[in-house]
Amino acid sequence: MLDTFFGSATLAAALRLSIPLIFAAIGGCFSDRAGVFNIALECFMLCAAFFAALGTFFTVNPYIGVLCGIVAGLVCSLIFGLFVFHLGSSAIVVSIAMNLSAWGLTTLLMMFFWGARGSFVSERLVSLPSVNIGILNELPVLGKILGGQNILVYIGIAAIFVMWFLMYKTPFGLRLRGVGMNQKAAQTIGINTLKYKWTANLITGALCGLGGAVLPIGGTSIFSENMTAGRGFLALAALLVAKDNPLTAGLFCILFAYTEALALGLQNIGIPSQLVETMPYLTTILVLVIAGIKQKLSQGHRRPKPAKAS
Amino acid sequence: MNAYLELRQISKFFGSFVANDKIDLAVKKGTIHAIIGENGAGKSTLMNVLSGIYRPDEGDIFINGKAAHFQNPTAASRAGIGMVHQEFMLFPELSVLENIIMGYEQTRVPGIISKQKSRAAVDKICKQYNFNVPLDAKAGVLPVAMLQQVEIVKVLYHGADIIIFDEPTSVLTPQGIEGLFRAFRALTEKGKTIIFITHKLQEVLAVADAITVLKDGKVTFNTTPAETDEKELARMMVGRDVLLNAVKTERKPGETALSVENLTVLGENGEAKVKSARFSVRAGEIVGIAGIAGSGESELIAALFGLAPAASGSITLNGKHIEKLSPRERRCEGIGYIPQDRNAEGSNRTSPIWENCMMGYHVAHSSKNKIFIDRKDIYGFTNSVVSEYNVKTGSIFSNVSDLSGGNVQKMIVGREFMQDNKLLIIEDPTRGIDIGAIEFIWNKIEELAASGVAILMVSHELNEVMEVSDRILVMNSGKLYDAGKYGELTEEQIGVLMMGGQKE
Repeated sequence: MLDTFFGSATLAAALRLSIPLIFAAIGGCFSDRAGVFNIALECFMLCAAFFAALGTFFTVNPYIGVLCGIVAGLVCSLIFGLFVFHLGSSAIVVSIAMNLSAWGLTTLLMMFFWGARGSFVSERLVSLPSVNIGILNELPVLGKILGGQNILVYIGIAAIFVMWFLMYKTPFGLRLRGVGMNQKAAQTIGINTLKYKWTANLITGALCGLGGAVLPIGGTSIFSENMTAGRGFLALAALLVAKDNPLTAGLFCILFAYTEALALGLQNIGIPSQLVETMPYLTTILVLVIAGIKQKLSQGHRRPKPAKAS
Repeated sequence: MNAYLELRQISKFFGSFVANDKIDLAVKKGTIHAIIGENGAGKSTLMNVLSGIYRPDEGDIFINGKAAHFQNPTAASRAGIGMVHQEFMLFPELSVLENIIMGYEQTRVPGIISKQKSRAAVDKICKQYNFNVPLDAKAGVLPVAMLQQVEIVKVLYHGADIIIFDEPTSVLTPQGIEGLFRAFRALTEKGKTIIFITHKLQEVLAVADAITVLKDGKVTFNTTPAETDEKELARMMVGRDVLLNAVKTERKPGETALSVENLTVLGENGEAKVKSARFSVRAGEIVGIAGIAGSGESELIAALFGLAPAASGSITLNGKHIEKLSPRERRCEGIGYIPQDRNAEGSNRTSPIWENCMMGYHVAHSSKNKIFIDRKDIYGFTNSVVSEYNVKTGSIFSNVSDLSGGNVQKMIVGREFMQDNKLLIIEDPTRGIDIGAIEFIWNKIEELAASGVAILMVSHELNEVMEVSDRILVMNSGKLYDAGKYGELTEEQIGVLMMGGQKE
């Protein structure tokens, strides 16, 4: 029983499962910081997952698959940016449209290329090989969790710290946060706010692309209809609760993924799968509720602060 | 000495509207040059041209004899022009240091901010000009006077030689204004040039070296404080003689209308913002409360109108307890309210004038039909507000966002004043509007009091409280102090009370 909760198999699975969420969440942090409310992470990820699978299928090379995933994520963010920044559409409406279209599009393309419904398995769908970093494998206890994962797992963990540094320690990050906080003030000191928003948007696209790519070729070697299954929204929840801090968002993603891994483990010991599969979502709701209550308490009785007269 | 900054024949058009009409301006180095004019006179447009936000359609700018063309704010900033905006351009969740260095970060390794190096550069400026700003505090928690200093340090850090101040005194206490003027002098002594935009004539006369008056986009008058007086400046600004004082009539206050006993209101973190306040307002009486922003005055008003709960104490209107009532119920009891911020709280900018006039009115005063809008009634009411209060608009179906600030304020004041209220709670009734409109609103307050309405006014303009009120109260750190009847204490004496009795 204890092994189900804290065994190295569960923890290693949690780490592996957290990676798609981590990429999407830290990518989303950048858009949100720039004041762009992007809830199309789900679409970005799903398209990336499909094209990563497709690229791998045609080349039998998962690295090219990853590249295809990144490109798909970037193309999605280009479409999003075109509508939101240049055609004046509402970010929320565009997001909803993109999320719905992504499901339809990937299902259609699945039929078109593979003639498959539901899910598609093929020996041409090669997963990323596991990487053996000598020192990691030899660590006691941790070795079994950290060792032997695929390359994107290590990149994902590193990305948390790199992106945190980018956001808090560089002029780019400072200005990006400024753009989201007070766009007019940023403009008066000569910051090109559109440039920063576009950069953030593309970062989101590329990282969601990586996150999506992990799903079909990060070990499972399968592509199935609506493969993301709400992971984009889980990532969104993580970044909102973390207030756009990549470090905290990463931690929440690991928590969400842990419950997912736990669900897998609990199924094996005979708890009904319908029940355990709700766990990641229930955890998300719980975290959101706690965060909401915390915020409410810290605000107290607040009369909306009037803005300065113009 | 020759002019350091010179504008020649600057014009700026918006469609067929001429915002700046062949403006000539010469500013000498190391001086304080005041530019005054009513709202819409073209001051802001001119300053936006100067700071690179707009490009002039005609005319040239010369700095130190050299022609300068600014493509954007950064170019103006590089040429040494900085602007302290009326609406502070700050990032509330960032530290003061981050606010100052934003866009001009110091690095040691390219691409990585060096906090130490940035801090050293900012510290140097603070020392040089004697500013004392808390670099590690979050900007959002600081009082406005401090934020203004942050803004000044920021433009100095950007390397400004000419600093434009847009209505800088509207948010300050008398002491804060003195502090700002000391900073002005310290800056000019070190060779900086200041352009000071305002509509407050006493300040101009007190601090400026040269004065330029704008009216309808044109320069109408160039003078110096020694050669002119308030009356003349007001006439040049408005185009007619203006009364600079409120006309007070003899009134006999009636019964006590509003009575507040031991009222305590808590702030965000549970600390007492209003501490056992006790006062009353009689029918036909104007009571003014003076207090700097953050002294508890906005919490007091919120509790009186029902926007925030009272922690303890009682509020009665004509003998009836109202402390438990909602704002809607209080409106039905005959309380009108004019909030401080006409854009965020007083009106909905994206809806038409008639809808805005209906807000609050329909609850307490409109006809019996509670399901459908009684258009005839509400249009009639709106038309009377527009005509009685001179709201300049083409139609009551225009959006409020099409009105100028002064006209929005007149609409809100009209909406509240023309309802049959027993008590009016007014916050900053003339904030940021023209002297012509100020005169008009002051007169209306007086008229209303004469008709027997009790009026409680909170204003951050001490001058306004002193001109309009029959009785003055001062708020400081949540406590109310009596500051005598109309004309009893001087501005300095009241200023000292506002600061908590500490003499400077």
